[in-house]
Amino acid sequence: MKKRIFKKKGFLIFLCSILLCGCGRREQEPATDKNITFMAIGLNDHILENEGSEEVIRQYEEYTGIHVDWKWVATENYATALEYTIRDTTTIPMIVTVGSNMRRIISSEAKKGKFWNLEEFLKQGDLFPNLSKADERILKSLEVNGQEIGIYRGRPIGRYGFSYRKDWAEAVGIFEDPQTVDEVYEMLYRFTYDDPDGNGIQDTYGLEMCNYTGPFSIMQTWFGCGNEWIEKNGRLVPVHETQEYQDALDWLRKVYEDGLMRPDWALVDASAFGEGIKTGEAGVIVDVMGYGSKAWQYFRNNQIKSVVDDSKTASMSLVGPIAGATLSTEGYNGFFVITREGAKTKEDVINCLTFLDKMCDDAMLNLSECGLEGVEWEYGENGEIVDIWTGKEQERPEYGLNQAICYIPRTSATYGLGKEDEIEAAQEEAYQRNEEVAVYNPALGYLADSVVNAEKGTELAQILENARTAYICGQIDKEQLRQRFEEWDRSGGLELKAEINEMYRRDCE
Amino acid sequence: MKKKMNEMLGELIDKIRYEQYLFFQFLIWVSIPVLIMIGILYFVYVSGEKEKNDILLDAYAVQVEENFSSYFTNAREYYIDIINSNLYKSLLKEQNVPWDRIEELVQLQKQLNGERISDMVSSYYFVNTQYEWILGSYGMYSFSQIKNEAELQEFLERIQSQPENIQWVDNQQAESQEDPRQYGIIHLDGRYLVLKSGNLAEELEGVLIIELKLGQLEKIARSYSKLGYEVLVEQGEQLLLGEEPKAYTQVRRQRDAANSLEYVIFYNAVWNQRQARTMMVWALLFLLGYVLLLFLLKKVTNKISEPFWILKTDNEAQRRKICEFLTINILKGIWDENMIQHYLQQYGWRSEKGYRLLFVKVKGEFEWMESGLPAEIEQNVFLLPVKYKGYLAMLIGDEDETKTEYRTALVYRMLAQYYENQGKFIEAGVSGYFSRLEAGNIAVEQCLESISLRAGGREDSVLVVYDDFWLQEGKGKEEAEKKAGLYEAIEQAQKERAVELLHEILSAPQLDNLWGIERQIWVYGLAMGIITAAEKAGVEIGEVFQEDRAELTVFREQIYDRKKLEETIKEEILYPVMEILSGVETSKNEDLVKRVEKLVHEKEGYITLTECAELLHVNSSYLSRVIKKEKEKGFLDIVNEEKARKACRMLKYSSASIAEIGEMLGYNNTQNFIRFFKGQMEITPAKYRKEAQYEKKNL
Repeated sequence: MKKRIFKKKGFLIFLCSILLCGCGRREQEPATDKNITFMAIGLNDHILENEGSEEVIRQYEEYTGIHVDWKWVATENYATALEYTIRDTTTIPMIVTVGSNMRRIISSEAKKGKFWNLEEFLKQGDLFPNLSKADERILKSLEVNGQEIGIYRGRPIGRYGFSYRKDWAEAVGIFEDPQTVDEVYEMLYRFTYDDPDGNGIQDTYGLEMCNYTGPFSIMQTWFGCGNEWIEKNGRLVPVHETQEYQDALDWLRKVYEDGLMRPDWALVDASAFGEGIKTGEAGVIVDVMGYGSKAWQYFRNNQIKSVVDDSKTASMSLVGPIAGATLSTEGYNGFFVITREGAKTKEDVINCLTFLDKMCDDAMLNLSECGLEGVEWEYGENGEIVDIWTGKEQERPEYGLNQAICYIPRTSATYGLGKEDEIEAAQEEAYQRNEEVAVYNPALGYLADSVVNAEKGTELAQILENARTAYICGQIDKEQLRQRFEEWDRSGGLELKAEINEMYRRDCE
Repeated sequence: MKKKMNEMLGELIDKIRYEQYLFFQFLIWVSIPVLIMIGILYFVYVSGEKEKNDILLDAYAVQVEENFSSYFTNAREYYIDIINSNLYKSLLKEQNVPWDRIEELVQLQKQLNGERISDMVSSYYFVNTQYEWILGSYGMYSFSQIKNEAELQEFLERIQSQPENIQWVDNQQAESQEDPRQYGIIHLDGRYLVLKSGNLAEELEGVLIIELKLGQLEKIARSYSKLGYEVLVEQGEQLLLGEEPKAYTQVRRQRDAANSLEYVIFYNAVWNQRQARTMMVWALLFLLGYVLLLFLLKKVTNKISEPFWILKTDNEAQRRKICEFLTINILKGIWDENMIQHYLQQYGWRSEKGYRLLFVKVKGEFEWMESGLPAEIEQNVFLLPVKYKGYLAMLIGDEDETKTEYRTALVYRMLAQYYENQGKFIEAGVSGYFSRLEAGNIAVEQCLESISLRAGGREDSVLVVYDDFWLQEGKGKEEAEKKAGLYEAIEQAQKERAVELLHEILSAPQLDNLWGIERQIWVYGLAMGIITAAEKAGVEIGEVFQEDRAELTVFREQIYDRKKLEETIKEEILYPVMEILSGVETSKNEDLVKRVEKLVHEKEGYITLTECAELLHVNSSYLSRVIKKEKEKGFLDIVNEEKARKACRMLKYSSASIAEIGEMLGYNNTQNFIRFFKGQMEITPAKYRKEAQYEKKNL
């Protein structure tokens, strides 16, 4: 029983002319009596202005059986809007998106219990087949006063890992993926000095590196080092205080000293990261697997020839973990809270969660990835999905509308565009391998709630980063490094450790 | 060509029917003012905007200078601070690439990247020109490591050649391929703030090259652009920001001496015109809408007004009504001249120079031809013939008196002909000539007077003209007496006197003043008078004029020569009439009576007067009159005498009974026969037979 109401339909008679301006705006009446309100992050300035966006939303509602009143707020204003919205109890939507790094904005409201505790709801596997499979560790990090205040927006946990240029490896006589740190060193060395591009000039490096030091944090895990924090003897310890960290830094310092990465890496802007792989200056990249797969795609698109076989294009090997470890991502990017003032009854909460749950079904994931059938894609000869979109990416009907999806348990549809592609498949596999061994940050949840971290976190992180850079580049020795760590302690590190451990202790009791 | 155009125009106009005419009229009455309005609005808008823009331009120019100069000053001062810092100075002294100072360089990079001037810098290079190494956003190299060193050197030479310590350099390269993120590539493609260090007079030690993000300024410029203003930043000949518009009408320049920049703000009135054009487009759309509306309206009204179409097609009847109304009001004389002219103009009739009023009545009957008169008659009538005071009244007008008279005569003749064809005769009266229609009532009186004076009593058509001399006192009195004498002479069959009087009448000097219809009417009157008189004397006119009277020259032609006129009248009318009336008349009559008696005898009394007249080709009444005159007894007497003689013969010589004889003589009733016989012979038939037999016996 769909009703269409033509609003504002009228005739504007201007003087005695009959310039008929039929201004009809179509408004959808609720398809069901299940209504929710949703405040989401709008990725672009023209949210829902893309042609076809309304159709995507209509399909969302049709599929989930729930009518949504959307409130899209542009990214740049989102934090401010969130601050106001969360305190305005009259207009507060039922579902409110909390972006990454916005947790502090809502923390006081969370402590006041203004959000539903979702713990019990999420246990109901029959009601929420997808959401009930949410990662416990991530959920844990969202807890406030022991209450599950939100449902996270999942991201692949195993995104970080090791990739290398496969044809280079073959050129320097390496035919197996490196498994150990030593094998990695061997590869870096040969890439640097064995002229993998075969041009006779010593113009290559092993490791792609820039002033973004994320790759070091990943490589640290290969040495058994934790992810920022590690639990030791019932206490949470920042990793720089561990021997594994020192081992990793020593190794990295050796890599630098041996010239296996560019000497000015610390002076290279992060926007250049990954370019070295594409242009054939470096052969190994350690970061999100995407850098490996994008480089691979680049070789393919630009017909970059393999250095060992002219008939093939250059390729990447997406390895993932080394020495049985890699760094975990946070596993999520922001989260959704369900407000008590917006969703007044349990029914409302169930409606909200039903919507979020169903949006994680394959059909909806695919819709948000590939867009509208017939408009953006169609089935090919073999039943595969073929992209027929010719416009800009930003103009796709579904663009930005995936902000309403929490990607639990999967972060993409099991079928869809390019799923059968070699690169895509390799990446998926690497993700899987990474996820199994990914090293989590046990202090993630506490850091989000930490007062000290909020005040001094950036400064403290900067001290550690500067120290690491200086040590790897050989500007300081071990003693100076120790002094830097002491400086870290003095600058608030001690307080942070105390605060985090206090929270940890309380949790463990 | 022109003629053809006119023809085409004419055709076009013909094609435009009444409702279309209305449609176009509506259209024109709105379109033209709207178009004019649009034109005026356009002009007013554009000129008004120009004035407003002059003021705005001044204000904006100041605003732009403030915005832009603060931006550039900010950036300039920020980097002057950096080049004056100890770190920077110490780097100028580094003879080799300072690989051992990476941590410090990281800090310097942060500063160069505009740590304290948020979001202003997109790339930077510090070049130690003295010792040839370079630190940029994407790494640190000695000159020897740079793959495109030539490009760098070229740039350095360029800035070295300029005297300023701090300068803006536009080094945008249209075909730039290199990606500065690549290893060993120094790509200088953009607009740079360049700060030199060292003792410039001697040798350059180092250069700081900063590419500022001009997006912020472009954003400001765009906001002006939306209002129609183009903002440019120039340094000397160099254009740092913006693009010179293709066309502009107003311009302001603001000099920023501190940054040695100039801000130029253009205003392009074309933008205004575009606005105005948009306005005009709307106005035209409006007009289009109006046309559409009219069109629809036309369609709709056509649909609605279908019943009224009958009325519309009956336009002719309406016109006739109006004509009739006007004519009758003119004849009533209730309007003054202005009023009449007003009405004539209102209905689109042209008035004439002069008029005569013609009153016509069909003799013997008072029945109007409802179907109207033939078109060729109506065409010659001013407005329309109307029924008035028992007459058919016609105003006849033309551009001068003579023409009016011709036309009147023409109308009369056509009317007479028209009715005579139906076997009817008319009597007509014509008013005097008048030029003002307000005198309509006087003309009516004149007509009536004319008719009452002379019409009536005659069987054929008659026309009386009011200004006939005969009717005018004084002028025509003598003539009237002579005419009367002439008619009398004719009646008395006094030929000599009639001829004499005719001569006198025709030699009257007034005749010379008679022209046109008056003369014709006068002649006509005279001729008719003679004929009438003859008729009164018992002349059967048919006997005189075998052909149509109208064929007579007198009636057909205008004869201005007196003698000829006199001769013609004599020859054609007077003599034939007199011939009948005079001696010839007597002998003829005696002869006629004898022939009647002979006929009656031949027919043994079985003949009527009419039959007799027919056999003798005379009018029965004339015959009756002749018999009375000659025999001093009636036709019936002759018949009866003949019958009585026959009866006597039969009584004398036959043996038939009296009843049989009566029957033979047409008497079914014997009694009636006896009475008849006794009346004739003063003796009964039986007695007559007895006496006759007695006489016979006696013989």
